[in-house]
Amino acid sequence: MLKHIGIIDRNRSSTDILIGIVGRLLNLLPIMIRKILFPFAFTFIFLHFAHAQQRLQSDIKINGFYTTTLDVVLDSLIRQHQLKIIFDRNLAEKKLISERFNDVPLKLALKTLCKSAELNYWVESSGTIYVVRTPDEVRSLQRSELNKQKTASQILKTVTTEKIDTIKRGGKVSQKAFKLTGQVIDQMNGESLPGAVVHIENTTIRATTNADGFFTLNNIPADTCVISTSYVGYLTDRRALTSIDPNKILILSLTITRNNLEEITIKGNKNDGIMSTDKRKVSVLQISPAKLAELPNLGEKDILRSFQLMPGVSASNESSSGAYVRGGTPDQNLVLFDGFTVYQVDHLYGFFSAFNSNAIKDVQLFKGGFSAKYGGRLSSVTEITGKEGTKKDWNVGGDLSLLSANIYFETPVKKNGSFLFAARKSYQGPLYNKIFSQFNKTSEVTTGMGGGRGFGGSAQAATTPTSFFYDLNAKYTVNVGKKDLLALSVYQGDDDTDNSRTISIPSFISTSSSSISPTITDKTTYGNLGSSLKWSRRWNSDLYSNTLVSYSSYHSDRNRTNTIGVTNADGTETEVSTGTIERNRLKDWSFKSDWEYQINNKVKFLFGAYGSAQNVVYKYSQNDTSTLIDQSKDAKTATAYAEGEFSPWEKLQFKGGVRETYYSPTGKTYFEPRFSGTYTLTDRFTLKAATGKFYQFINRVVREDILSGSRDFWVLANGTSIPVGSANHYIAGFSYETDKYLFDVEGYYKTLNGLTEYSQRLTGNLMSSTLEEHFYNGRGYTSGIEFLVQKKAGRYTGWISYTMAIARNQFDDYGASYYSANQDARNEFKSVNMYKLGNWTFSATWIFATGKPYTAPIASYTFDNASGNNQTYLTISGKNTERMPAYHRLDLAATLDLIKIDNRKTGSISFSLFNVYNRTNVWYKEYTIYNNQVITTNVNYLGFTPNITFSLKWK
Amino acid sequence: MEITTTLKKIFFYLVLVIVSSSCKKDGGDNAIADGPVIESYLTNGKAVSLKVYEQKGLLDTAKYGAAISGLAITFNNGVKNITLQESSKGTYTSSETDLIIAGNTCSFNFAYNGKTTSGETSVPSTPVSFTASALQQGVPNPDPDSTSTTFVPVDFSWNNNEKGYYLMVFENHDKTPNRIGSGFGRRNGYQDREEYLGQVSTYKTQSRSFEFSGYYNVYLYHINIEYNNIVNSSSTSSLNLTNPPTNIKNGLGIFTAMSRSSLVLYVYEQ
Repeated sequence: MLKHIGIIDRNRSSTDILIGIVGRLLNLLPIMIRKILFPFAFTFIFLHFAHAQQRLQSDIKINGFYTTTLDVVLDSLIRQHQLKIIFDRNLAEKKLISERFNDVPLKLALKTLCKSAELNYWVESSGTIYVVRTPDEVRSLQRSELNKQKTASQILKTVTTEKIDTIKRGGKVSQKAFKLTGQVIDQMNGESLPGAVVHIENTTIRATTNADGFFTLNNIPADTCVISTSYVGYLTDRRALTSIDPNKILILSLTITRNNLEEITIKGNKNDGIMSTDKRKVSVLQISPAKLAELPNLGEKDILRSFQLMPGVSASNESSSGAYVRGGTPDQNLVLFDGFTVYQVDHLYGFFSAFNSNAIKDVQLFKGGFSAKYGGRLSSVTEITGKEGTKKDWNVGGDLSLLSANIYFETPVKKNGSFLFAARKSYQGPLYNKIFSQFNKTSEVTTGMGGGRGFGGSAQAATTPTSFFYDLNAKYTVNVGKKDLLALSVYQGDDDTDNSRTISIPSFISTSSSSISPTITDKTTYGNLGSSLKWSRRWNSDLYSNTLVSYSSYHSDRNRTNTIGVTNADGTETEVSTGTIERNRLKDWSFKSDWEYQINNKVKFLFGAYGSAQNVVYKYSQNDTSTLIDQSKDAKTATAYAEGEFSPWEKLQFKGGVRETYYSPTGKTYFEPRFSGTYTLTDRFTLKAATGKFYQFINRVVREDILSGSRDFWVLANGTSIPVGSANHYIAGFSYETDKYLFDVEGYYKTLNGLTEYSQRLTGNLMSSTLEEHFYNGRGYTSGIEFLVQKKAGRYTGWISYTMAIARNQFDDYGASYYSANQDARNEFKSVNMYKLGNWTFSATWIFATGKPYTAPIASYTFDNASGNNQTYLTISGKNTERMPAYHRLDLAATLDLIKIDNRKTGSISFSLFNVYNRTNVWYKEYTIYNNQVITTNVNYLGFTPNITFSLKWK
Repeated sequence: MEITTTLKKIFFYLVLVIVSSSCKKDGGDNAIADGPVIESYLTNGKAVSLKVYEQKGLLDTAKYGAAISGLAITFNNGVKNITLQESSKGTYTSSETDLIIAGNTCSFNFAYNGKTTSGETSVPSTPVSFTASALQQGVPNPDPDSTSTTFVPVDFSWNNNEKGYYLMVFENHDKTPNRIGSGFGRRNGYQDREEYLGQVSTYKTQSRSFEFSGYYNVYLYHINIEYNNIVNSSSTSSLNLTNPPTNIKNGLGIFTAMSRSSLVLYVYEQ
């Protein structure tokens, strides 16, 4: 099967590949991965573990017969083939070699030599080969090399200073200072890295890479500086800018941090953890998808769920992958994937995020006060950048967990392109069933039907669980010339929950009345299809544009109907269906053009425009003929924004922007000013603040029946029953950062207006009824303070965070006073710990959160209706006046990196334990009336759940 | 080391914050639990009847709350005030049966627990042009082993230009009505049946509407929105629980007027 993919790719277009492979893959995924990847997994486990980053690609053939020490052999190879091999001479002298090579490829020869000398080799991107005992030694060898360079750079640094002095005195800035444009890429696969920080050491010159990994630095004093590049989850790269041609694009390649590589002390800030916060940005979190596997997980490496471990993002929402950021709800969080909006961010009742982490390169969460570049949501923005696929060599990989199977394929396409395809599908594994049964407690119902004629009989309701979710990602990227880049990205994710059952009446009581068995259809399908075509252009080193057209659609179909067969007098059989059929469709066509103009290191302008046309359809019908609601609403949005990033003097940086949006249903324009700034008091101490106004034009309303599969239901604001939401953010904080530690405090206050809640009331009877839609409008505020202490580097990394937060709402329908919003969690404490030992990474996370508020009855009453039948009602003292018991849980994980003998990581095995001490965390309470009493039942979140995940790469 | 001191400071600060912000229950209005429950349906041509109960504790196994007796309840029908008499414990009635006049506003009030409990409702107009397509309804035997015949529904219609809310009640004349078919699988006793129709002007019977044969009074009630609201409210999860709607001040339940027309329908097994 794996070979098959390669063949398809060579002969057919990428679209064909998609269509052709998808169907087969999805069906075969679980079996295939089990059959193919498991043997590999076990093979690799027993291989020698060492370290590596780069495949050795060389055509050199080795000849000769050696019976000598290893140092002599290596020296001879260096001499004969102009290779750069670094080794410990003292060690190599002691290793005797007796080998004959006859046209043996270099790779194989090295392998043989290392095997007989009980050593390993490591290949750097530059082609330098290190021969070492353990991976640790690579660093010490590198360090000794660096020391040589350091001596040189010390001298150069002195020269630089002199030059600056000369410049200042002589005023000949233009002669000496130069401009540098570069791109930061992943060394392994050549993918660009957005959001990496590039910094000229000992200066304040600094830039963040754009969406395609490009950066421009102006006024670099001389070509003898040290440029340092850092990116979350990657080793910080430092290199001397010697003999740089400023007219060429400087490629800076970074390598993923791995175990054992911590001995080297890198000057300056370092972050090889999973999370990074840029002290020059306010309320921004970045996580490294590459490191996700090391965190405990519930079945899947989960991008969005890992955000829940960060300060400011609520952690006690097991049933939602959507982010509750700073008291906001998930629909107030804009989720962008390669530029298009994703409306359905989770799978399987919210337990898993809709994104396959194997297809994701970078994720950033803007917790508030975000740039004028983003809009349309009240609370936060999650920007996800998909992987482009390797630019070096094709590869196939996959993951297999107790919940799902996942496979991806990436390949360079011709010289300038790359293609990535990733597919994931759940299977009916133990974990899936556990979660599924949490929501569908009764999968088999026995209905008492007997007794009427003195013999028993029962109607069996047989459920065939066919529920699953899947998602697909495909991305084709091509560089057109040196300045243009085109990328086509497609994402599709769907959930199909089917509880349908057929009631089979035992034959001895079944007669000729109807051959159609009564069936209960209980099927919910929902998902998202999104695609974007992006064109990025570097017009010159100062001007960069990113233009995209995108389409995103969300669908949710619920079908809960009972079908019975009816035989008419003339003997014809017909099916009669009653129940509810709901259909929600959202279509979003968008155009977006973002521009960046860097005037100099002190001033940068961002500006752009955005336009979208949205259509939301909502249809609610009770049977084949009766449609209660049939709405189709359209909205057009047009937006322009401009933002300036200024750094008038070294210590101060601020951004000021404006955003203006026209929204057609209200016919009004909405003006959003934004501001954020940082002030560096000392090298370590930074003050920060942000504020802004935010509008939201589309709302996700949460249905009352929470067990309905998809609870998402999108409606467009109309300015009347559904107002346009608005929010003001006020954020202030400071951070104290040392090389290894970060201490960060941020406080926020957010006002919210135009909040909408929704309920449906069915009036009338089954055959003729009307559905009343009630929209409740209200306002709210959230405020809080977040503390974070992070150890960013070393064998032990992790953080402790504490958030104290308040989220309160006021809806006239619930009363005149403010009450705690459903998502209010007063105290949240999180501890994330990761420890690296050899090829193992151990992690432990502990979460404590104040229980969520809930509404409880204090009394009940019963009275008769007009025809004398009684009905019982519950009285409550107020909305959300009670608190659930505190939520807490401990998760543990151990991850073993699998390393091949030629020193590359080919996969990992993760053992994960969720909710280790089996804490019973209450999700919500259900009140039922039994024997006139009100019985309270707790519906709980998941208890102890173990999981194993295998991740493997072909190469 | 500086980082250690910083960490220590942070730790103690955190402890301080957590301790100082220990959880408090949000304030609610517990007084609501003391409010009386009213049940009163004012119908043209019938005496005024108002039942007053206490609410029940959550674990109380009694069907209804304890009746509240000894109240002095004043009733106004838009024309005059009368004092209702306690005919049985907790049930207060009028002796006159012509108090409910379409278009008028009726109200009541009484003092209870130091507060005045009151309610108000307007009497809807009597349904206009209430007709049926047939006055007989044949119902096929629903047993699985019976030979099915086609069910021909009866269409009821009335005039509803004003988009009023309607309710239909089927009331069998017999004390122990006969079940249609053998009762195979169905053991429930006879109950009058309410159909909440909403803002419609027609109603079509269904085969499942009738399990018992005999003569039925079919009442079409023109009801107020307050009744419609309360019968359609049921929330049972902590995620969506709200107080049921009521039109009683300082109390709970329903005080609503309705006007009705009626037809007689004969239901028989086909």
